[in-house]
Amino acid sequence: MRVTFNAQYRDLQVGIDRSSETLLEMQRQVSSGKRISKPSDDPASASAAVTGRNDITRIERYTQTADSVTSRLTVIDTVLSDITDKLSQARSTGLAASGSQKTEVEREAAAQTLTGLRDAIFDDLNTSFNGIYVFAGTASSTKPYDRNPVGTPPAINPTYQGSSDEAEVDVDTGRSVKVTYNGESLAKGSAANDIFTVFDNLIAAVRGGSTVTTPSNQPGIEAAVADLKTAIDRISTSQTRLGTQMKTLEELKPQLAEMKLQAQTRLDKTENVDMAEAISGMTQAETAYRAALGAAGTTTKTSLMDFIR
Amino acid sequence: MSLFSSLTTSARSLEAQRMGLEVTGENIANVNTPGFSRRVVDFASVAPEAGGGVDVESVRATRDRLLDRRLQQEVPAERREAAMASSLSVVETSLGAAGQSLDLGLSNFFDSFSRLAETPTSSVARQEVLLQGETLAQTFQEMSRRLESSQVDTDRSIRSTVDEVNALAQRIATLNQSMGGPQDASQTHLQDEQAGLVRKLSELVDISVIDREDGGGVDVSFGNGRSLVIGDQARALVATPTGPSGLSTLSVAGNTITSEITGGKLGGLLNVRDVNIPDYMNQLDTLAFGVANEVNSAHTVGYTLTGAAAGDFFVQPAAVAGAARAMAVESAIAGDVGLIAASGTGAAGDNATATTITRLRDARVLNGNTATFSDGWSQLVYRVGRDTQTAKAEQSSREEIVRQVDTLRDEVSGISLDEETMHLLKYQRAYEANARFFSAINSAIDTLIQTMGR
Repeated sequence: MRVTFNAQYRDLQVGIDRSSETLLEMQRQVSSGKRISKPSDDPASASAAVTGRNDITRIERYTQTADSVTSRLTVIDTVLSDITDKLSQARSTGLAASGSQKTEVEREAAAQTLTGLRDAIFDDLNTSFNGIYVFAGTASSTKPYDRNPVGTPPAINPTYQGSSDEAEVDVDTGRSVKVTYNGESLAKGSAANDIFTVFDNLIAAVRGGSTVTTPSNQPGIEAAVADLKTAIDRISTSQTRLGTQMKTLEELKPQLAEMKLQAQTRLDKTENVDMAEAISGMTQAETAYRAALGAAGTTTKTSLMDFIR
Repeated sequence: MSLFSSLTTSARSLEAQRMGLEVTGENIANVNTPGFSRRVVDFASVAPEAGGGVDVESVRATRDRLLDRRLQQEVPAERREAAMASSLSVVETSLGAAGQSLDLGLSNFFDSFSRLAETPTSSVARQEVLLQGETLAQTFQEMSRRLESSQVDTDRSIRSTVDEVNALAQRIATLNQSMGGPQDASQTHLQDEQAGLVRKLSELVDISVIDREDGGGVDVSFGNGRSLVIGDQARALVATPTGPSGLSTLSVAGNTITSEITGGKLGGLLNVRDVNIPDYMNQLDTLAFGVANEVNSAHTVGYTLTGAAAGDFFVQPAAVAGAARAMAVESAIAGDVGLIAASGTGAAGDNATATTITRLRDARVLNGNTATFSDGWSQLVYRVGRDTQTAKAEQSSREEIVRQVDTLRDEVSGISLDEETMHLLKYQRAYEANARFFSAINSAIDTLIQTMGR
């Protein structure tokens, strides 16, 4: 084979070009830490990375939702506990006010306490969290209960203005949590009277006033106290259900964190370089580059010209 | 043979060796000239009756026609891939940085609906939905614009390549005119020049080359046997802007031949312009249409903040084609975020519609209900990446073939400096020896004249 001047240089040039290109690419990988800088570096991985990042952002969103839902449910839980407490308190106040030994003053004091408890529960059910009435069902921008006073002393006689529908929020694929409650199902449920009417009945019974249908106030108090017990049970049941949801959420969060970690690891494996591998690759590429340069230096040194004198 | 004729003989031989030196000098001088073929001096001994000695029979260029033809086949394929690789690399950058592009826009958009589902009455959440909707629409528009401008840029390159083709074809035709005379040094030079031009032309477009029977250079044809150069005539390749897109249609002698050109730089550019980019545009449009259409379908069954039936969220695209370019949030919604539908019942705090739209994120609604929006984007990324990668890989393997054929060609036509140095020595020594012979004869004549003349 005739070795020609141009072929020799062309080969040397190709060698240098290739090894310097590899070196540049390895240096890019090491400095950026990324295996892929553009889709054509590895189309399948670049496309998998899109899916991976989508997984991560979805999980992040679910995590944020879970956090914000948890804080909302905590508020609801606190309110429900508060209502149950007040109902128990009303129950004992009512019971204490029964009996013939009670004086007018004592019974009036009990009636005042009960009125206070009733108003507090009224306010509790009108709780809003971040501008959302949590006990108005899906009518969350409407105050669920409004005062509608009748008689003297006034019964608040509220009507439920919220919705019977309740809104749910997705906290994971295919898993959702109730975030607004139907206030009426808490205050009234399937009972004949809502809590406020029960309170008004109790207050009237304690006072021995005219709103009590039975001549003696004792049966009135007993009936109202029994209704309060039903209300306590009803709300406790809701609270238990809420507690279960909160527990599920608490369990979900570490699951989401784990899923995110796994998705992140997958993405890292797809996109990022193994540093040790990349650095050794870079060293190899550098050696190859040196070799190519060295070859160019030595081959072109020798020529027949050197031997003609 | 007389002494005097010996003088003539040696003079002729000296001349011949000097010619050898000259040709060697020319070879060395042209060691770096592209397309230059090594010249070889053919000596022939002269019959004693004709005076004896040596004469230069011819100076011929060493050229292997077969390898030249092979190069004309391989070069267009290599250049086609090179043109595709470089054009597609530009298209690739228009996809944006990984994780910062349309996929981020889609995520943010659906996330904003998820936030709206948490707080359906919040005006902040509604503003966020509007903002993310507008950002997403802009991202679609921008990407579509970038693809379009890549297409227009490619078209511009096509037009300038057409100009180059015409210039080269013209020069080849002009050379044809000057060729066809007796094979002398100037013909060899013209042949070299023409071979260089043909090589350059084959980089631009796949051509077939036929040597003219009259020896006057070459005829060049391309496409489906369309003549580009016949004798001293070059036919112009014409690029005419056509249709609403204004992209050029190529024609020669009134025949449209855009689809006939597949090789060379021109073939690569045409493929990018007419196959690759439209494919990406179609995928992007399909994605944009899917997003707008699905979001609208879910949105229109919902209710606004005030409980009225909601309208479209995005401007409903008329067709898949152009959907990305036309993507925009309905102006009514941009004017009043209360018109965004979160509620599925009419109650302000209901979030059924917002939840339905959020769930679209993972719904398989594209490509005959087999792919999510994220899949649609990931497929586009894959397609662009794969096309670019394939073009690059093809190019480097083709480049290797071209290099090998080039090396083979160099083996025949190329110049080895060591070899030329040896030739230099050879002719120098032969010249010296001949000169010695000349002086020997000369002194013999001198002796004769001196002794006889006494």
